[in-house]
Amino acid sequence: MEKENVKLIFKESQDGRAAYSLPKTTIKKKDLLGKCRREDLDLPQVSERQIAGHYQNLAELNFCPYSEMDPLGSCTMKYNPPLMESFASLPGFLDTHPYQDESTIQGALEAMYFLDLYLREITGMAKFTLQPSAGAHGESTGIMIGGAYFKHKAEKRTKILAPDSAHGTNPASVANLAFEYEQVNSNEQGWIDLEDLEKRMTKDVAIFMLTNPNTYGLFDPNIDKIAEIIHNKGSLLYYDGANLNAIMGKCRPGDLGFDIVHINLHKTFGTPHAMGGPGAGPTGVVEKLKDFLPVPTVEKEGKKYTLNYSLKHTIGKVKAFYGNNSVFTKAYAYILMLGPEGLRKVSETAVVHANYMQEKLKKKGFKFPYGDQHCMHECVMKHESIDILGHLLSEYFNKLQATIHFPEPNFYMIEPTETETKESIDEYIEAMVEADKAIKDPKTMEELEKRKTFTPIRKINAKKGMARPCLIEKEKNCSPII
Amino acid sequence: MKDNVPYIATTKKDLSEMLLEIGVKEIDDLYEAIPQKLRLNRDLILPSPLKKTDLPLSEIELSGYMQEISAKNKSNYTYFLGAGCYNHYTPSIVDLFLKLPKFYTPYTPYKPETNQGTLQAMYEYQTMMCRLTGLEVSNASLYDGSTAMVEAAKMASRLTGRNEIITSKSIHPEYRHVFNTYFKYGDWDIKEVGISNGKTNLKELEQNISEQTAAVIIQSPNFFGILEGMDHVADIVHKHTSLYINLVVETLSLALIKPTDFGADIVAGEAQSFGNHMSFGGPHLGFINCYSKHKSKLPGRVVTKTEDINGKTAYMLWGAAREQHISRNRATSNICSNHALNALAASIYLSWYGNKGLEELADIFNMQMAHYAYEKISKIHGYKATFTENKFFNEFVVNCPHDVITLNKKLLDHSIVGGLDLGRFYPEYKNKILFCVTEKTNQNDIDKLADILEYLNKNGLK
Repeated sequence: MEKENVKLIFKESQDGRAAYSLPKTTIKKKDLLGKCRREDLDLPQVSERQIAGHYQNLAELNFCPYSEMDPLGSCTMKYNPPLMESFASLPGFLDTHPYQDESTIQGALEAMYFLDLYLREITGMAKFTLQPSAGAHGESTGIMIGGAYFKHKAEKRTKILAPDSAHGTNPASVANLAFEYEQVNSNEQGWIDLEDLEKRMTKDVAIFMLTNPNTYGLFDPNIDKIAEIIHNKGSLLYYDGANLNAIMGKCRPGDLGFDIVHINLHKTFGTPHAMGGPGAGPTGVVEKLKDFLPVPTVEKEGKKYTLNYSLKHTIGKVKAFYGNNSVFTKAYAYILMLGPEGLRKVSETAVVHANYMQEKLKKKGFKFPYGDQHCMHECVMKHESIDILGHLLSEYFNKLQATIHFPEPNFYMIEPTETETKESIDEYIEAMVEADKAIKDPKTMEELEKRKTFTPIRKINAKKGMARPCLIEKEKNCSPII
Repeated sequence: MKDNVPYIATTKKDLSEMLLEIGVKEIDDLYEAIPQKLRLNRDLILPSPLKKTDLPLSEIELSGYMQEISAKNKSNYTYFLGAGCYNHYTPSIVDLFLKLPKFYTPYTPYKPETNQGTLQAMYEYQTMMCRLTGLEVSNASLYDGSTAMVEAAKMASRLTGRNEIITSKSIHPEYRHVFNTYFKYGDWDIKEVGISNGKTNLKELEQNISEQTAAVIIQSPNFFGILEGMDHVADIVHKHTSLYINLVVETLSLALIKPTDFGADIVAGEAQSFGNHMSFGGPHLGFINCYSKHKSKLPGRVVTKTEDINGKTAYMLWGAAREQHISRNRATSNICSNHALNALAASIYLSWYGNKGLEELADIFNMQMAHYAYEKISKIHGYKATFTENKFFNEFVVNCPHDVITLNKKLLDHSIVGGLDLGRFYPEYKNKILFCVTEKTNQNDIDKLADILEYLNKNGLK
C-alpha cells in the first residue's frame, strides 16, 4: 500500500528548477532594504509541468458534484454551469480595478444594478446590498442594520433570538456582534413553538432570525402568526436565505413578513461552492431600513449607473470595495438564463425531488421524524448509525454523503436539488438501502468490505488528527504541538 | 419551441411518476404549508436588460449580452493604480486549474475521505503562507483583507482578555471604515493614531498604548506604500504585553520582508496579489497567520496532516471546536463559506514563481521599478514627493499640480489609469496622488507616463 496519495509539492522541489517567466530588464538594481531584507525565502522550486501534474493529481482525489449527486442538506449543491464561469472570466469583469473611473465600469455596474432589482422582486425586499461575501457575512450585515435601526429609534434592544434548529452561523453572528443570543424551541411538528416564542419575546428583543423552510426541510405554516408576534413587539424578522431554493416564485419573504433577508448566491443561484468559497451573501431590507444599508449601493441616473455613498443612516461598510463581483456576474447570468418561469420551476422541481426521495426511502423502511408532512427542498432522516451509513456510501458506492448530525444528532439531511435526474435519485436510494442492509447484517457487511473502495484513503484517524495537529510542513517530520 | 428549463432534466413523465409515488395530484399540493393568502399567485416580474428580448434568454442571446456589458468595462489600460487592489500578472496555469470541476464545484471539505485534494492543497497553502510571514499557523482563507483585520483584532482581544484596539491612520481607509463599522457593536475602546511624514506617529502611539491595549494594528507597506514597523514598533507594543498585528495588503512585499523579523505576533491581510485577478474588487483572499500558542483563538478553517486508520498520510480539518457549526455562539467567528478557491490560486501562483521568481518579481519588477518611477516623476515640476526619507515597496505619493480627477480623465485618453486621488480618503492630502508600479507597468510605460505629465504641465489640461 502507498504511504501517501500525492507527494507534497515541497518534496518535488529541486534547486535550479523554476516555472516562472519574467521579462529582461536593464533597470539598475539598488540596495533599497539593507539588513532588513530577508534571505530565507523557501518556496517550492518546480517546473510548470510538475505543477500541472501535482494539481491534476490533487484534483483527482476529490469527489466531484459533476460526477455524482451531492445531496448535502442546506447547501444546495446544484449543477454549476460552466457558461456562467466563462462570463466571469471575460477581461471586463476579471481585470478591472474597483477605483477606476465610473465611466469605464458601466457593464459591471449594470450587472449589479439588475441583480439587485431581481433579488428585490424574488424576495419582496425594497433594496439590497451586494457587499457581503457569504451567508454568515450577510447575517452580520443584517444584525448591524437592525442594531443601527433601534439605536436610531433610541430603543435599547440587546437580544437576538433564533430557533434551536438554526444554522450555527446564526448564534455565532449574534455573539460576534455582542448581542445576547437566546434559543427558541421547536415543537413536535418541527415548527416554531409559538408559546415559547411569545414568552421569550420581551421588549429587549431586536431580531428574530428564522430559516423558512427551516432546517428540518419544513415550511413553517404559522409564519403569519410568527410575524405578528415579532412585529407586535416592534422587533424585526430576519430571513436566513439558505433555503430559498424551495420557494422562488411560490412566495416571497417580504410578503411573509420578513424585514431583512440574506441570500446565498452560491446556493440558490448556481454559483459554485469552490471547496468552501468564494460565495456571496447579498442582504436585502424593507423600505424603512433602506437608509441603513452599507455604502455604496448601485443606482441609475438617466442612462448612467453610479455608486451611491450617501445613505442617511448607513451602518458603514462590511467589506472593502463592493463585494465578490465575479460571483454576481455568474448569478446575474443564471437569472437571465432561467427567467421568471424557470426560477419557479427550479423550486418546484427541487421540492418534488426531495419529496420523492423522502417517500421512497420511507417505503424502504427509513425513519423520517417529520415524514408525515410534505417536505420542501430537503428531507431529514434519522438513523442510529448515521456515521457508518454515510461512510459506506462514499467508500463502497462512490456516493457523496449528505449533511450528518444536523439539525439534531443522528439526522441525515438530504437535498437532491432540481438538477438531478430521477435515475440518479433512484440510484442514491438503492445505495442507501444496500448500505443500511450491511449495517444491520454482518454477512452483507463482510461481502461489502470485499468490494473495491472509491475513497483515496480509508476512514480518517480523527482522534489523532485533533490531538496531534500538524498544521504546516516543516523541514523535519511534524512533531505534535500540544 | 422548447419547453425545457436549462439545467433541469426532469421530464413531464418523470414528474407524473414522482407525484404518483408521493401520492399527490399536483405540485402545489406539496406547498400546502404556505398559507393561501401569502402565496405569490403570479409570475415574478423580471424586466429584461435588453430592449427587445424578454427573459429567459437563450445561451446565444445571453452570451451576446454578457460580451456586450463586459466590453463596457474597460480593462485594456496601463494601470498605475493600486491602493489595496493590485494589477499583477496571473500565470495562465492558475486560471486553468481553478476551473477544474474537481476544485471548482465541491463543498467545504468537512468529510475528509472524499476531499483529500482540497485538504492537501489547503495544507500546502498554509505552509507557503507561514514560510512567507515567518509564523506557525495559517487559516485556509477569510473573505478579504478588511474583514481579516476585524477578525485579527477580535482574536487578539480573546487572547489578551482586553478590549482596547489601536489602529493607525496609515491603514487602508476602506479597511478602517469596515473596522469602525464592526466595532460599533460591543464594548470596545478603539483608538486611531495619526500620521507623521507618511507613517504611523510612534510618539502618539506611545502616548495611547496602555495595559488595556489588546493589540496595535500597523499596515506595512502602509496605504502610501511605505514600509513600517522596521523600527521599534514591536518594542513599544510588547512593553505593554499587547499583541502586534502586522497588516499586509500587498503580500508580494513578503518576498523581501519577513514580519516576524520585526516582532509581529499576528500577520493578517489580503493576498490578492498572489494569483488573484483584480475582479473589480473581489473575490480576493483574506488571511491570518499566528504562532502556534495562539491557534485556539484563530478564526476560520485550518487543515492538519494526519493519517487514516491504516496509517496512510491523510488530511482533515482541525479544531472544529473553534468554528460556528460546532460551538455556535461560542465560536471564534461566524465564518463558514470562505475563499478557498482564491487560496488555491495563491498556492499555484507561489509554486509557479518559487523563491527565486518571487524575489525577482518583488525586488526588480515592483520595488526597483517603483523607485525608477518615483525618481522620474518626482523630478517633474509640481510632482514633488510628498513623504521623504522613507522606504517604500511598489507605491508612492507625490504632489499634483492639477486637480487629480481631471488629470486622471486626461490620462484615460492615453489608455492610462492614473494613481489614486488621495483627497478621496484624506481631505488633508488633496491634490496628492498615490502611484503604483507592478510587473505590468514596464520602463516604457513609466517613461510614457512621465512624458505625458511633462506635456500636460506645459500645455495645461484643456
